[in-house]
Parts: sequence; structure tokens; C-alpha cells
Amino acid sequence: MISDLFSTTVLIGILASGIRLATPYLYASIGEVFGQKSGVLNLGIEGQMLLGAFAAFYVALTTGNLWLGVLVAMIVGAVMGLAMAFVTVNLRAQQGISGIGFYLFGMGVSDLLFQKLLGTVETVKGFPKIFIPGLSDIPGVGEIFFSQNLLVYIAYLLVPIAWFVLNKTTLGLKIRSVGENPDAADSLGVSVARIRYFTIILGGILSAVAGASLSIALLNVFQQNMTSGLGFIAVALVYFGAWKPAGVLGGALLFSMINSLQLWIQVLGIPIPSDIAVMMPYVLTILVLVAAVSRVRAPSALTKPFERED
Amino acid sequence: MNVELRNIHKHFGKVHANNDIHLNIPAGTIQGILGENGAGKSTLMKILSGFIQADSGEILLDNQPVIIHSPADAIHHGVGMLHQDPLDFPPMRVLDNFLLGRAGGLFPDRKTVARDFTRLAAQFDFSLDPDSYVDSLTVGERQQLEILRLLWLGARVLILDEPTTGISASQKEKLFETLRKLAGQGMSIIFVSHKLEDVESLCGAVAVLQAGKLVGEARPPFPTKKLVEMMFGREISLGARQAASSGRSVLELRGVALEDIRFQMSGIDLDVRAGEVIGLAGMEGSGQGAFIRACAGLTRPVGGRVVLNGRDLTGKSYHVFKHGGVSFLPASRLEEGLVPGLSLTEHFVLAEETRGIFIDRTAGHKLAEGRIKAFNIRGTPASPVESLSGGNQQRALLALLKSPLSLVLLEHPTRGLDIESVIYIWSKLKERCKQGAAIVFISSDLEEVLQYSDRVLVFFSGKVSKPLEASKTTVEQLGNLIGGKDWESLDLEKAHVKK
Repeated sequence: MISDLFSTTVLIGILASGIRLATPYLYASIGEVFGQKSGVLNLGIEGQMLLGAFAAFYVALTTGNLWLGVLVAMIVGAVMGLAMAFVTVNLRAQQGISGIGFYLFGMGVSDLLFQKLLGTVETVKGFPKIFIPGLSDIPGVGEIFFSQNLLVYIAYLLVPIAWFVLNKTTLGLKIRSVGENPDAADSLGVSVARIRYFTIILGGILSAVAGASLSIALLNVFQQNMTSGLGFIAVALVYFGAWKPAGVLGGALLFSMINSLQLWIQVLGIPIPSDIAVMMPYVLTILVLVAAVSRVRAPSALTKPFERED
Repeated sequence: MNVELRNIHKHFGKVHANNDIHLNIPAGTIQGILGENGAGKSTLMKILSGFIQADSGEILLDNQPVIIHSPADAIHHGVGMLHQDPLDFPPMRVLDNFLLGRAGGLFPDRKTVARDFTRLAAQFDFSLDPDSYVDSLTVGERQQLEILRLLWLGARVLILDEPTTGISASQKEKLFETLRKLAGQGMSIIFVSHKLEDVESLCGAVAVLQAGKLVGEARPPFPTKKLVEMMFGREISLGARQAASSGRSVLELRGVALEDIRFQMSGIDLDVRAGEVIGLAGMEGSGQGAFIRACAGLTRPVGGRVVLNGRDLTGKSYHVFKHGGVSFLPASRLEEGLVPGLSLTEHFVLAEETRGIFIDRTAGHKLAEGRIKAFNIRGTPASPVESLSGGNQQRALLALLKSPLSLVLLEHPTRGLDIESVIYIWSKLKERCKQGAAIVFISSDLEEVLQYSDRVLVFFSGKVSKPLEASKTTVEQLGNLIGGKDWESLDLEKAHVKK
């Protein structure tokens, strides 16, 4: 019944899982913010996530070591990022197209490995909830914010860290300059190639962790194409968040809360067709993006390959 | 710092852009480099500042041969270049722009850098706020920022590429003063321009490039006529002024009021007569842009009436104005006037009244060939517009104008063009006037305004002067007016006339 939605337990449940579900968006979008700030659009996030999700799950399943799973996922993400950086920086590929290529590659390979190495859907014991003494005991608040697992906490910590790095450090200044006017940055001795390699690889690593957070911290399973478009929403969130970590956080929470709501609607058996419920976050993506159009200017050199004229 | 270039050669495909260039610039000299568009000036400067490498030849700094691999390398050697489009980061703060070049360590040392910046700016009497955003600065201020940064990075050779384009008269004065001061401190200044007057008033030596070759050098007093001959390989004379016409009114503005984010203008009255040229002078963003857009129907006036050929078109769209015989050529040629990626033929076909669904290729091709010939465009019917040089893009835009027209509105019609193109374009425009069109144009080049206009309107932060007779106005007067000086005398004159 619809009235079930408004009981305290259910509301706390919706909010708590909303907070939790924002995790993969945060990792992936923060990585994408770095990339776009340096002028690189990575549309391959989804592929990197799927490979990261599989790598983490498989390692965790076979060794029982979750951290080793995360580490392997990060390595896989870094390798994907490296390949993407080579294609983007050295071969100066069209970023929209090459990104789709990386997505299809990641999806295909993760699917293949799943069939060869696992064959069926298995579960793994994921990261346990960590209770913070004192904070976790606060009624409501404790359950919503402070009874999550470690990957969730780290995802939220990334937001201020990313803001600080982008706005307060020399590295951040270089990243922004490369995304705004690479010619000028180059003339000042900033290596455009090195900065973009860095941001693309960082983006790969964070996307893979986003995937890992799904497979060994939130859902604790691996399925074919389990990200189902989440990586693309992460790209949209960067636009929505106007290239600011805090903006991305707001967007991620909005989507995850809606997602959480639709999950609970299904769980409670409220008579709304499940197809429509599942559609909600995606419809919202489109509406929000339309509303967000041209609010803030994108980095000037976004998607433009850099080449010193000769 | 002593700069010497020896046997510099550079090819772009078949074009020999720099052909065996020798140049010696002693420390403390302001060296002018003259040449028309495509003469190889920019190529030579890009070689010296590390943006491109010469095919062969040598660069010596203080008699030491150096190899310059990149712009960063150049500044390391003490060579800094100020580009025509400033190499800066518009959405960032002035200070961020400033400190980027020397960003070492984990955190930028803002405090020290801010102190350095203020001290350096004070030295040259530049009033730049380190916390303002670069996109709020004028071209002249961005230039000042760039100069400060290059000096701070240790430049001892300063290359300036067309630095007087798009800046105000007072900013130009300040720039020249700064350059003289720097030269006095032993720096070498290389001043690239196609503006003879600038070069003559500033430089201690001039080298002229033509078609990739160094064709002559001169020292003051400069033989102007000879310099022009060397630049173009022949003599060129400016067209004579025509008598102001007093035809019927094409455009009437009655008490027009305009609003911008920055200012409000009201009570503008003007009659634009057929065959007449009206120049709009003023620093960028003083209201002339809004004014010309109001004449085109692109901006809706908040008050008053706009009457075109006797028809009240107040508040109507550009489309209606266009049908009434108005054409507007904006400043950003490629962004607003031409479609990158489309060929010349496709442009001419687009501009014609469209008939049917399919493109008549042969007719379009024929049309394009005719126009290319008539307007002396260096390109083929199939050339994409972005492959044309600035002057040729401007000619293409002129060729796109329909005929007959009653009013042509132009924004910076000759910005960045060499003298030959300027003269050509104005001769084409004057032809339009003879056919009965009126022309209203914006230019930051005061000489151009006085040379080609019959009457001039001056804009200063939203104020509009009464029409001034161009033949009775001097560059100095105009310069003072656009800087906001001497407006009282203008009002007095008006009062006088009224009596």
C-alpha cells in the first residue's frame, strides 16, 4: 500500500539505501570530473565499471580477500585508462566515438570472462557494515548515514578531496588550464599530454572502483551488464553538477534516492507497474539534463585533441 | 638580449613561408616587422618562440646558438611571445593565470605571487585586480596581464603579434610607453604589425617581409611610401573621399532606447540617408554593438521607433528587416556569418532564395565561380570557408550580400586585414553606396572611421554623441571622445547650434 511508504522504518530504509546507492555514481563521476576538467570526455566509463566489477568479484570469490579484489579492479581500471589515454592523447581520436568503443569492449570482455570463469551467478560476502561508535547510535541518522560499508564512506570522502585537489593545488590548476586552453598551458611549460594521461588513468581507476563497489560492496553478485547504464548516467551527472564535485554529489544523491524509492516501491508491492518504476531514474536524467542545459559553460577544450601546430 | 636569425627556412607543403631570412636585433631595440597577411611574419615569430621548428637555419641569443623546441623552452631561454589571441584562461582569475607558468610544488604560493604581481603591475602603472576573472577584462587588459606574466617568467625578448588590434587609443599609448621603457632596460622588442603608423611611431628599426622573403630594412625617419611599396611590391593609394550624399532617409531612429546588462541608452535620433556611410566609434562594449543590432532588428529597443524605408519595423525580427533590405555582417566572421564545414558554393546556394528540394549543383558552381571572380576571393568553389584567410572570408561575406540592399551594417569589417584587403573591401562597399545603399559600421580603428565615414557617432559607456561630420573631426578629438573626455565641448557646440 502506498501508505506503507510513509512509515518511519520505510523512510529510513529508503534514505539509507539512497545514501548507499550513490556510491558507484560518486566514484565514476568524480573520476569523470577530473577527465573533463582536463578536456577529455570519457564515454567508456560503463565498460571500465563492468571490467572493474568483474575483476573485483572474481578475485574476492576465489581468494576471499576483498581488498585484493579492489586492488585488482584498480589495476584493471588503470590499464583501461592507459589504453584510453593513448587513443585520446597520442592518436587524437574522436572522444565520443572511442569512448563508445571502450564501453563495448568492457561489456564484451566482462561478459566473456563471466561465461568462461563463472558460468552462473554466484554471491560473495561483501564489505561488512562499519559502525562508528557514538554516531551510529543516533536514532535515524545513525542508520541512514553511519551504518554503511567502507567503500561508501570513502566515496563521500572523495568529494571534498576532489574539490581540494582541483581548486587548491598546483596539480588542479594545471588540470583546469589544460582543459580551458591547452595551447596556453603548453606555452607555459605544462605538459598537456602528461596531465591528460594522469586524469584519464585516474578516471579509469575510479570507474573500476565504482564497478567493484557494486559487485563486492552493494549487491555482492556479478551479472552480465550489471551496471545497466549507470556509467552513462555518471557522465550526465558531471554536466548536471556543472563540473563541480559538490554538484556531482547533489546529482548522485538525487538519482540514488529516486532509485531507492523505486526499489522500495517494488519491495512493498505497491501497485505501480515495475517497468514504470524502473524507468523513473532514467526519465529524470533526461528531464534534469534538459533543465541543466547551458547553466554553466563546459571546459573550453572539452573533447578537443591537442596538437602543437606544425 | 641580442637576437640573431640566420638562414631561416620553413616550408608548409608547397608554400615557402620563410625563405632564407637573416635578421639581427641588438639588445634595447624595438624592431618592427612589417608585411601583408601571409607574408611570413607570424611563421618567423612562431619559429623564434618555439611554436614551430624551422626546416633549417640558426637562432642565436646573445651570440649563443640555441635550439628552441617548445614555447616553454623559448621562455626558458628568455623569449616570450604575446599572441594576437591572448593565450590565457578566461574563466580563471587573473592571479591564477599569472602563476600558472611557475606552478611548482604541491600548492601554489598565492601570497608571494600576489605580492610579485602587484609590484610588477605598479611598475608599469597597470591597474589589474588580481582577483577579477579574465573574461571580465578588455583585450587591452588581457594584453597587460600577458606582458606582466612573460616578464615575470624572465622574458628578455618580447614578441608582440598585432598588439594594437582591438585595444583603445589610451591603452595603445600605455602599451607603447611600456615597450619603450622595457627597451630602455635592455630588452629586445619585436613588434609585428601591418599598421604602418604604429610601426613608424614606435620602432627603431623595421624589416619588411614579402612572400616569405626579407625584402628590405629601414631606420627612422622611415620612407613611408617605400615601405608600402616593399610590403605589396607596388604602390597603393587610399581612395579619395566622396562628397557626402543627401539622399532620402533609409533608416530613421526616433527616440530609440536600448538596454544592456551594463547600461541604458535613450533618446537616440538618427536619419541614415541613402548612399551615406556612418561610422560608430567607441571602446569595445560602449553600446555601439547594441546600437547596430537594434538597426538590424536583432535587439528589441525598449522605447522609440525604428523606421525602415518609411515602414515602422519597431520590434520586428531580423527576418523582417532582412526582407526590407537590411544586411548585417557581424564581427566574428566564422562564428556568426559563415558556416564552418560548408564550401563557398554551398554558402552561395544557401544565401539565394531556395527553390525546390534538391541543390542545383551546376548552377551553384557557376554562381560561386562568378562571385569568386568578382570579389577576388582566393579559393575555389569547393573550398571550405574555414580554410580561407581572414581577408578572403570577409570577401566571401561581402559576396554573400544580396542585391539590391538599402542598409548594410558591419561590425569591424576590416579587423586584422592588411591594407590591400582593407582598400579592396571598402571599394566594394562604396560601390554599394553608389547603388543607393547606406552603410553603418563599427570600427576600433579611428583612422578607418574618419577615412571612410561621412558622419560619425561616438559611444561612451552608453552615451551616444550627435552625428559628427567626419571631414571636420580629427583622430585626436575622436580619441578623446571615446575615452570619455571633451564631451562637455560637444554639448556646448550642440547648445550653440540650437541657439
